[in-house]
Amino acid sequence: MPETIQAYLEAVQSQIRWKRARPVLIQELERHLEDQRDDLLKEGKPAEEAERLAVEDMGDPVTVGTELDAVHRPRPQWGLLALTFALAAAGAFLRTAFHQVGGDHSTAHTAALVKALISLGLGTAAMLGVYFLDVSRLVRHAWAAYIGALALPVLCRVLLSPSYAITLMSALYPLVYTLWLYRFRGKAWKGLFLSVLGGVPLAALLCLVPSSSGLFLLLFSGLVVTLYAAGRDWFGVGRWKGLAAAPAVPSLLLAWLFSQGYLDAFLRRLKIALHPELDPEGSGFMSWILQMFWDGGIPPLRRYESLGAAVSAGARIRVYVDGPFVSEKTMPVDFSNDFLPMCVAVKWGWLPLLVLLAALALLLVWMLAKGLRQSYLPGRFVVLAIVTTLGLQTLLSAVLNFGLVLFSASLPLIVGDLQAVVCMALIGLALSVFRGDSAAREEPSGPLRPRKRLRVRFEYQ
Amino acid sequence: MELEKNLVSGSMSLLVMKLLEDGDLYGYQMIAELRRRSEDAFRLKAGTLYPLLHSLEEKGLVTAYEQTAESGKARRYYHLTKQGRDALREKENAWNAYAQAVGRVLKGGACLA
Repeated sequence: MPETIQAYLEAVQSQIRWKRARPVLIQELERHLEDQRDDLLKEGKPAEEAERLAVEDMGDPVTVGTELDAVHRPRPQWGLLALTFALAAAGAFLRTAFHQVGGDHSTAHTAALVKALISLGLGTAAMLGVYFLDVSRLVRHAWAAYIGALALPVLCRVLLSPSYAITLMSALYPLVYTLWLYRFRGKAWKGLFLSVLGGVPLAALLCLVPSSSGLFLLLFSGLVVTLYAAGRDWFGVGRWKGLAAAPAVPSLLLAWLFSQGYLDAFLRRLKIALHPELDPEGSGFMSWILQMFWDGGIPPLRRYESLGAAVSAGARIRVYVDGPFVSEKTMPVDFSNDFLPMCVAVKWGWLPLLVLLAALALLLVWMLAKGLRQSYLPGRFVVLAIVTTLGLQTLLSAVLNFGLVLFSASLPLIVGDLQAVVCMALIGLALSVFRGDSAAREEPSGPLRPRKRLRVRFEYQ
Repeated sequence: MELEKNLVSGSMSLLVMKLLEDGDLYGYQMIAELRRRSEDAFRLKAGTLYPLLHSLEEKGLVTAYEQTAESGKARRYYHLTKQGRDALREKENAWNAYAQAVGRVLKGGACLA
């Protein structure tokens, strides 16, 4: 039997196989032993004896360590990892298949295949790399993540391409905002104000890039996470006050954007999306084609031919309606990207598209249900931000492909090589929360809003 | 009064959850409170308490949170969840039924012929 606290803790630790769990478990035992030793010292026991008695009272270290080891094991998420990989592989296949349309562009097809395979490989590596990451480290370095996010558009412009910035910012900013918000637990009105204020530079950068869909994702995800936090009285201002105040800042931001002329642009966009026939050769062109397609306006035999021509030509489309084509123009949007889900329905019918969407919905709902049961609160926030972002992207993509061209949106894991990598990394992060929940511990918060506690008098005999 | 170990260990989760019913506590407080309420009958080892608390947390019966105490030291408080309260009710009912049955037997009474 060890006689010192240090020796006792080392003996317990040696029985715990999961390294990540060790520090948090040992810390709790150490605090307990120190409390007991200090009480014994107050009673006048000599230092060595006080420590020995405290250790003795704790029980056999091997038994304690073994029992803790049995409770704290990583929870592998192989099922969700496999489902994510399967969806990403399906996406890689579809991106390649729809570059194959036309059949006379073998170089483009090979390039698409190589890009899709690289994307799948990088995405898998990113997902697994993040899966084994300790999420609490990310939470602790929220400041660094926030500053990195602000630098992201500049880095992308210098090192990569501006289009990369839009993809990365749209997918990552809601998560960055969530990590930022977590820092303001129990900081009252100042915390609530600062947390929401932190979203403003992110929103401003998305306006500058510009990415209206990214801005929409940030505002909506940010609102969901802030409301969830306020509902748990995260800031310590009272649940209902927090819930009432949380939407105020995004509303003010929207009001400011609208006052800068965005309202007219948005209303015009909405009007054209709902009535594309008003501008069929201009900004309503995509909505017009899609609505004609879903309404059966394009003869079935030629649907795929016309869409296929667009995919293979990359930039031009001919739309046929009963004989001579009615429109030939340069396409602003590549069908093989955001409109890939529609191409799947065109080529193979509804069933494959519905199976794809159902699998994606299953993955997200499963993640959300699991995420909200996590005991590690920052993990819950992280999962909520990720699921909201990916869920909203899925919803926007469905809306887009069914003819309401309001925001550009890529179906997560399926559309876009870089987008697929980022989505896999985000899902890897959520699964890392599930895997490590048993060992994750929050940082202590101040006693701003103490829960009801018992008053206990310590007497050691 | 020292109670038989087996008698206590089976009902330890009931006792721990009962302590948390009135408010959040950290481990060291729980041991002291248990001794006080049981008039020194239950001397729970800390090495038994923590694995038990962690398994209750895994089952969702309690949650834990870190909070800096007034002394400046961070402590890990345990909180009984709604699920934990429901489980506590069930355990209490089962225990009372068991105790009443034992009581009836110990009192003696009619014998079967």
